[in-house]
Amino acid sequence: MKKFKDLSALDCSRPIFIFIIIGFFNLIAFGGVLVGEVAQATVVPDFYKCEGKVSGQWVYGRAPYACNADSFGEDQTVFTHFGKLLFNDQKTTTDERNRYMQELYSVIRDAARYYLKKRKPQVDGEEMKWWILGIMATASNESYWSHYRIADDGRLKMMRGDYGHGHGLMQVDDRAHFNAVTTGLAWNIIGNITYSMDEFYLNWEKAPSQKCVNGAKDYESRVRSAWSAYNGGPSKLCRWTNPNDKWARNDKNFFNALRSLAWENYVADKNKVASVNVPCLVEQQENCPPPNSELPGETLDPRKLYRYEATPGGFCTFHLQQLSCVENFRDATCLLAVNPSVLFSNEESLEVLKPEVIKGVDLIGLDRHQICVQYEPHLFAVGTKVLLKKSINLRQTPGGGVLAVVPNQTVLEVLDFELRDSIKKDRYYQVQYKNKIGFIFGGDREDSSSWLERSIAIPSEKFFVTPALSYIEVSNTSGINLRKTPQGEWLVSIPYRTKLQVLDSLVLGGNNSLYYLVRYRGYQGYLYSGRFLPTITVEEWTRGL
Amino acid sequence: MKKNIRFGFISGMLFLSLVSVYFFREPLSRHPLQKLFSIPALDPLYFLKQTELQRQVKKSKGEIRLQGFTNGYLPKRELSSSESKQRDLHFSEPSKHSQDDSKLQPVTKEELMALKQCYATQTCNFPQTDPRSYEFALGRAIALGLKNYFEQNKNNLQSLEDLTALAQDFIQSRDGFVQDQALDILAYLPPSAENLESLTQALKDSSDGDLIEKSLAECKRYLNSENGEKVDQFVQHIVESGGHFSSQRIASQIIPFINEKNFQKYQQILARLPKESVAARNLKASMEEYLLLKRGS
Repeated sequence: MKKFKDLSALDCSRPIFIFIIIGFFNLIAFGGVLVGEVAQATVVPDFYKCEGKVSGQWVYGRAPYACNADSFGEDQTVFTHFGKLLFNDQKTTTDERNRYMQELYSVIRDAARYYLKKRKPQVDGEEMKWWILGIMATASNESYWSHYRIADDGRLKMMRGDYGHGHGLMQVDDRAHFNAVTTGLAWNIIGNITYSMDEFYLNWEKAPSQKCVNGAKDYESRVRSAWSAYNGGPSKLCRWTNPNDKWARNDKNFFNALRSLAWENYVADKNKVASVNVPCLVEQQENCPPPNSELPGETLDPRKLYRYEATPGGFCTFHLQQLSCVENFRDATCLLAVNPSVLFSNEESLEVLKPEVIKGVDLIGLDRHQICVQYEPHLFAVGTKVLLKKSINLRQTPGGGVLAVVPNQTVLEVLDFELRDSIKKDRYYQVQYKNKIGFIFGGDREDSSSWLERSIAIPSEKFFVTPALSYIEVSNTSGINLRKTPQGEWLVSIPYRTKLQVLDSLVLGGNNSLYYLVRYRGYQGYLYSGRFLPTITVEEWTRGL
Repeated sequence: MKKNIRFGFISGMLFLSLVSVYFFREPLSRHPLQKLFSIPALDPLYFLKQTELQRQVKKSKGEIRLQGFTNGYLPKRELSSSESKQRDLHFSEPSKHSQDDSKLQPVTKEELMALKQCYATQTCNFPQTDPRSYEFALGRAIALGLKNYFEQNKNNLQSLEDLTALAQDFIQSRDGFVQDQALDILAYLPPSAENLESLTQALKDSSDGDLIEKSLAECKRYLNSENGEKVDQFVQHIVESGGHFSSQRIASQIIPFINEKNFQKYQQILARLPKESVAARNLKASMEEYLLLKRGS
C-alpha cells in the first residue's frame, strides 16, 4: 500500500499542479467579473424598473405583461387626466373591453389625424385614412391596444412587452429611446402615441422610394413597409416581402390585423368625440382643458369655466358682471380666488364664448403671479429660494418621469409653479438641479410646510434672480431700457456692462418675465431681465455679480 | 480509493472552472488580461458562433477586437431596484449609456466599415432575441467603435481625412447612438461646407430631440459664414416640418439664429403653424425675445 509520503513525489505533485492552475484560472475568472462589471457599457436590462409585474392575456386591453405605472410617472396624473383610458381588470371583462376600446378608438383616431395634419397640412383624405389605419394596426399588433390597466392587485399598471423593453401602447423600446422612457413620455399614453408616430412617419415617408412600394399612392404597401421598419428597424422597410425572414410571422400578423380591423368589433361609434382634449394632449401631454363643446356658450353662468379666444382671454369665469380670464388652463384653478363658485370638471366639455355674448361685460385679464398667490397665499413666487424638508423627486413634468432625487436640505430657486386640484391645492415647482430642469412636488393645502420652506440661504445650485441689495451687470449688448413701470413709459437707456444695485424684483406674465427695480442716473424704474419660459433667457439680459 | 477521490476532486474543479467561464464570459470579454492573452473572448462558444464575415476580416488587418461590444445585454438576472414610496421616492439615477473610455480597444477604419455591412448581411454575431435586438446591438457596437477610433486618431493629422469621411458617412445612420457619436466628431473637426451638408441632410427629419438640440450647437459655428443660409434652411425646416418634439424644442432655442434677414421667414412659418401648438408658442416667444434684445426691451 502506498503511503502518503510516497505520493509527495510524482503522483501528488501533478494533481496539486493541476489544482493550482485551476485555482489560478478561477481567480482570473472571478477577478474578471469585478473588473468587467466596471468596464462594461451599461445597457437597459430586461424589465427595467418593473415592480409588481402581472401577466395578462393576448386580448385587447390586457396584453401581458404589465408593471406598476408609477415607476415612470405619477398615478394621480393618470387618474385625473386619463381616467377613461384605463382598462379595469376588476370590472366585467366584456363590457369593460367595449367601453375601453371605444374610448381609445377616438383618441388614437384624433391623435393620428392631428399629427399628420400638422406634419403635412395639404394631406389628402386617402393618405389620412391609411395613416390612421396604419397607426391603429400598429397599436393592435404591438400591444393589443394595451397601455394603462388596473390589475387585480388594485395597482395601476402599464403594459410592458418584449422582455419589458417595450413600453405601452406603441411599445416604445427603452434600448433605443431611454430618455423618452425615463422622462415619462412613453408612460404618458398620448406621449407614447405621439412619440411613436414620429418614428412611424419617417418610415412612412421613406417607404415610397423602396422597391417593395409602388409609389406614394400604394398605401397598403406603404403601411406594411412603415410597420416592418417600426417593428424591425430602419433597414427593414421591405421585410414584409420576405417570407423567410426570421420575423416574417410578425409581418403576416400585421397584415391580418390590417385586413381584419379586429379592433372595430369592439367600437360601437367610430365618430364618437374623444373624451379628452387630444390636440392639446398631443402638444403638451398633461394638464389640458376638457375638449371644446360643439355648442358655443350663449349665456354666462358663474358656475362654469369658459374658453374665450381673444386677447385678453383664455380661460374665464363670470362673476359680478365681469369676465375674469387667465391666459393658460394650468392657472384656471386660481380663478377660484375671484369666483369661489366656479366648478372644474373633466367630464364636461368647455364652452367657447362668442364676442357678442360678452358685449357690455367687463373683460379682465389676470396675471397668474398675482391671482394664484391670492388664491393660495402659501404659494412660493418665482424667484423664491426654497429649502427642501425632505428628499423629493425631480420630474420632467409635474406628473411625469423622475429625472433625479433632490436630497433633503437642498436649497433651490423656484423658476415656475403649477397649482393642480382645486380641492387639495397640490402645488408643483419648477427648479433646476444638477443641470436638469424639472418639477418637484410642494405638498397640498394641508402639508405644504412639511415639504418646502422659504430660505434666505444662497442656493447650492445655479440661480437666476438676484436678491435685493445685490448687484447685477447689464449683459445685453444693446443695453436695456429703464421704464417707469414694467411695460410702461420709457425713462432712459442703460448701456451694456453697467453695474446696478437691485432694489426689488418682480415676475409677471405667462412666460414668467423678470423685472428688476433699480436706480440709474437719478431715475428709478424697472428694467426687463428676460424670462423663464419656455426657456430661460435671464442671462442674455443681466448677470448677477 | 484515494486516487478516485483525487480524480473526482480535480474533475469537479475543472468542471466548476468551465461553468464559471461560461456564466461570466461577458465581463471576462472585457477583462484587461484579454489583451495579454490575445483571446477575442473568453467565451467557450465563441468559435462556434463566428461568422464568415468575421473570419474574412480577421484575414485582413488584425482581428475584430470588438467582441466586448457585441454582447450588449446584461443577463436577465439584473433588474434595477427602487423604493416605491408614493411621492417621496428614492430612485437611483437612471442608467447612463456610457462606456468607460479607458477600456476602449483599438479599432481600424476597415473594421468599422465591416460592421456597417452587418446591417445588410444580418448575419453578424449580434443577438436576435427579438426583431430589433440585432440592430440595437449593432448600432451600439458601431457607436462605440466610432468613439474608439476617434479617441485613437483625433490628434493624428494624417487621420483627419479618414475621420471626416467616417463622420460624414455615419451621420447618415438611422441609429441615434451612431449619429450622436458622428456628431461629436463633426464638432471636433474644423467647420466645412461638406460637414454641414452631411449634418443637415442626415438630421433634418430626425425625430430625436436630444440629437437635434445638439446639432444646433454645432450649427452655431456656421452662423455669420457663407454657410449661414444652409443653417437657416435646416433650422426653419425643423421648426416647421420636423419631428413633433424636435420642432417644439428647437422653436424655443432659435433666438441666436434669428436675424433681420430671416425674421420675415419666421413670421411666415409662425403663420402656418397650428396656433395652439407648442412649436408656435415657442417660436412666437423666441421672436418676441429677439426683438426685445435688439431694442433693449
